[in-house]
Parts: sequence; structure tokens; C-alpha cells
Amino acid sequence: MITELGNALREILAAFGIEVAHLKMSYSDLHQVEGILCIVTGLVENHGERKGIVSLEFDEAAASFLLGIMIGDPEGISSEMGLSALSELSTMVCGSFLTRLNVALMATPPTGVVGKRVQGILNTMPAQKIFLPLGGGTLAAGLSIS
Amino acid sequence: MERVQFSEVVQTFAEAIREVCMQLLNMDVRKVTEEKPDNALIRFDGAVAIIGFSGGFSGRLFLGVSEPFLAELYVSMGGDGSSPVEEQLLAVNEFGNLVAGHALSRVNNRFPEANVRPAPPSSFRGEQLVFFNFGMGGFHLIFETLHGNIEMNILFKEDQ
Repeated sequence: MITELGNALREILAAFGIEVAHLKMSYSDLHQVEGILCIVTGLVENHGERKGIVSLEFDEAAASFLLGIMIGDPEGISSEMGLSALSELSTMVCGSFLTRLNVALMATPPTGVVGKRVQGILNTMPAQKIFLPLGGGTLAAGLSIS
Repeated sequence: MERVQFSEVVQTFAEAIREVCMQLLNMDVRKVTEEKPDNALIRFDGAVAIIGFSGGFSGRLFLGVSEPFLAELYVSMGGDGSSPVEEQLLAVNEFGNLVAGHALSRVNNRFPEANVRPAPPSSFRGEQLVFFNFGMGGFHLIFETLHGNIEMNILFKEDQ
């Protein structure tokens, strides 16, 4: 599944003219936050018990790079327009991911958080993450699902 | 499907907070404010649980708790007073899970065709945290407890 999330992310970034050469992967026992800005989307099964979390996690350089491309404002991390743009990016990635999986999972609305020294547990289940080098920084996409 | 009254859903979540606080902490909570938020951002210093939900309607629950409340919560869940950040995050995570679970069970009993499911809870700590959701509307409630306030913000997707 993490491969499909990576492919979904590649597809959406390519739509903005960003080509990603290679992805690094990791595994952890808990789905925890990395970065200063995180957008989390829940996954629930329509008629079953499966559930999970998809996250997009940005460090400052990656967020700034993307916002420069998406809205022409690298400082947009402190504006509603910038946060809305990154939120929309997350919605597009999750939509593409779920279409690729072709399973009966529904996404919840995305919630974002940005701040200083952000610490978080996004899900108590084990997580897989992919890391993309972006604009001198890193964008991580995480998935934890039962 | 019977049209879901979101104000009724919000009251169900408020009742769930009261019940969970009584069960876990033997503590009364009192709602002191309820308003419709006028922008997409919530600023909060402290510990926060976020739980998305989806089904016949979708949205997300935000529960922000004060430091003293978090300390009580941690002890009530078997903590020994010295609480590493990860343990605190797990405590607020479980609090959010209990509140959302109680509330959505009742919502699904009241509106059986809604079949709304909670996603796993996420929890956060940090400084000058700003939470954001766009294209959603809902309510912001503040509850007073013996150990500081609980802030509850519940939003629903606006196209529903």
C-alpha cells in the first residue's frame, strides 16, 4: 500500500511540474509526526472495521518550496491561503491513493497542524513512511492501517 | 436517510464529554460557551486529540485539554505522576477515542442510516499550535472543569 501512496504523491506533484527521482522508505512501531507542518486524513471502511491514517508531513523548506510553486508565495505557511493550498494537496493525494487501491475505504476531511516543536502520535498502529527530497527539505508521507 | 441535525450531533458529543469525564475522573464538567467559529484556524497551547469521522456525513472532532487536566487524565489511566510526552499523548489520544466512540455510537443509534465511523485518534503537543480545516462548518464549545478547561471544536463538511 505504501508504494501506491508514493505513486499517488508522485502523480500529484507531477501535475505541479515536480518530478521526484527516488523515494526513501522507513517503518516504525508508532505513526509519529516529523516536521513542523502535518496534514492528517483518516481512513474508515464503509462496512468493516479497517481504519487508518494517511499523513503528509513537511519541514519548513519543503513547505516553502511547494507553496512557491502552488500559490507563488514561499512564505505562505503563515497564511490561510497557503495552509488551504497544502490541505488541498493532501486531499488530492488521498483521492488518488484511494482510487489506486480500489477498496471500500472512505477518507475523513483532512486536518492540519502547524507550530513550534510539534510532537504528535498520529496513530498507535505501526506506520510506513516515504520521504521525498523537496526544495532542500523533506516531505514525508505516512500510512498506518489495520 | 433522515436528515441529520448537526446541532443534535454536537449535543451528543457534549454529553459524551460529560460521561467520559465522570467515568474516568469522577469529575463534573460544565459547558460555559458554545459558538460558531468564524474562521478555519484554531490556535491552542496544550494537548489536543483529533478524530476524523466519515459515513453518511463526515467531519472531525478537536479536543484540547489544559495541562492540569492532562495530568489528571494521565494519572486516571494508570500513570504515576511523572509523565513522558509520549505517555501524555497516548492519554489524550485515548480520551479522544472514548469521547468520539461514545458520541458516534449514539449518533448511529439515533440516525441508523448514517453509519458514521471514527478514524483512529491523533494527538499533538507543541507551542503556538495552529489547527486548520477548510470547507467545513460547525461549533466551538468550552467546558469548565476543576482542572482547567476543555475545548471542543466539531466541524462537518459543508456540502452535506
